[in-house]
Amino acid sequence: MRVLEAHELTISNASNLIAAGDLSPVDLLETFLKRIDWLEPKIDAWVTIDREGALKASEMLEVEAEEGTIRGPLHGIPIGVKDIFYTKGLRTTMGSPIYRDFVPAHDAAAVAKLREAGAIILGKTENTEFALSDPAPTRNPWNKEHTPGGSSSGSAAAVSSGMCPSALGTQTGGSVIRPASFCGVVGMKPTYDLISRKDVYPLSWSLDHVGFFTKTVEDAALMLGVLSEVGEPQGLKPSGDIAPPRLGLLRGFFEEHADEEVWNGFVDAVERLKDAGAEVAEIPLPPSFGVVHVAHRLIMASEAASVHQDNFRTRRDEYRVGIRGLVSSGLLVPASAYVRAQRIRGRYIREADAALKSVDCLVTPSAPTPALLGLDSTGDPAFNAPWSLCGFPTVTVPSGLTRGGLPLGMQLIDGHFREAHLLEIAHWCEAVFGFGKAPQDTV
Amino acid sequence: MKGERGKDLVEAFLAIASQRWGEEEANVLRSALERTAEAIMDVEDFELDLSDEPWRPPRKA
Repeated sequence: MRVLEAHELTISNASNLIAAGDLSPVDLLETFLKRIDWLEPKIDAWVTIDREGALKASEMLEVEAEEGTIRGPLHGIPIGVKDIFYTKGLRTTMGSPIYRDFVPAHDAAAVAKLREAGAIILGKTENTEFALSDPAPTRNPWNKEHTPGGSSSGSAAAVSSGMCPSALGTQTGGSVIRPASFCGVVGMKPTYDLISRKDVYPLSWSLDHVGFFTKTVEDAALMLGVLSEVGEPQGLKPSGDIAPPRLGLLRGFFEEHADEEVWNGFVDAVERLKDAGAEVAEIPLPPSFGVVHVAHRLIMASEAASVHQDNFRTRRDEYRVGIRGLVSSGLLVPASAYVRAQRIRGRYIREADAALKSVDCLVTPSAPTPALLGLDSTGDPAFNAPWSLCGFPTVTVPSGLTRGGLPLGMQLIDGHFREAHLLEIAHWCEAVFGFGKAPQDTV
Repeated sequence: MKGERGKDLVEAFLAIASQRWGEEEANVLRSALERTAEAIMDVEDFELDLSDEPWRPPRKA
């Protein structure tokens, strides 16, 4: 049996080894820094790598560990942070030239929680401009000619290529689940506001969610335990001994919009889950599903217009065309249309809740396509935006590869605050899929 | 775009955009303006009851 290298350890394993004195936080950090030196020129996942700050933190955490003080489950674990989270003393650009020199005086609440749990902030990962659609330079570790997805492009690519074991992201439409799926890692977007958005640069206040990327579902549970505002870390650890779940399969829009290879891969993955004992029931889409994407668009455009209104007056020419189009059109949305979209949202949540009544969770492909060729587009968030609109927790689990060797993912969806339940099911599915693969050029 | 009403809305958006940011920029933004105009029409056409109140953030029971 091959001995795992330090960068291949899960957070849970590395954390246990550090607590037992069998792994040095400084050595672990240096392993990741060496990988960054090797891989970053090819992948471009980072805006800023804080070598000095990370090394200093790791030395301090090493001394603490030697003295028997373990701050929390991330003691000595290097983590990447999307570049829209404020990080004290560390440049935070939002992917925009407007903020190219902005250095926050304090941490975002989620970053502060990571540090309290002993994490080392390794650096800031690339994102699309203001977390919308104008692409970052990041490449997909599975095939560098393809997008890693977005908006949390660098976070997904960094975890996928083993440059860090976990990274923070955000999702307003599909910015965690889609890049996680494109890069073959686990991505989670918990219930709206379960992780604090404080001092995360907003795109759309009522749609923005903080989420994260990990290699395994167990690590996702661990991260959520640290980051949750109403944390129950013990309850979140998947036990691994649940009965096979009852899954609600959504067709309609998803089947119509998925490309053939994605849908066939999804059906194959569902069959594997059935073979392992899962019950699968087809669930009709909620009646209001036909307008969820347009309601999402209006809410996002209106709120983004308000976020950017002041900068727009004097620095409009520094915005790229995607975010400029959204903000410009959002400035024209009548208030009554915005409120109507929020009323549709209320109706849709009630209907989506009802759809969950007879099953453990809903399942869809994580994106309509695998990672697209080229870096001009980060892909389509249409399979994720309905659940961002709901504020429901979602997880993507890697389920296989396309013929061309690009990852596919399955999106699992549950009701508000049912993260522990959702993670149990995701853990069960992960075991059935047995993905366990890493991009060829990074091993 | 949905009929005359939709066309009128897009034209109105393009006129405002031209006035604010110039004609060339209005054309650059045309597809974003069209998408938003279409979203407004679809949302306005969707039937709701007075009991359909705007979304409120979820609270843990």
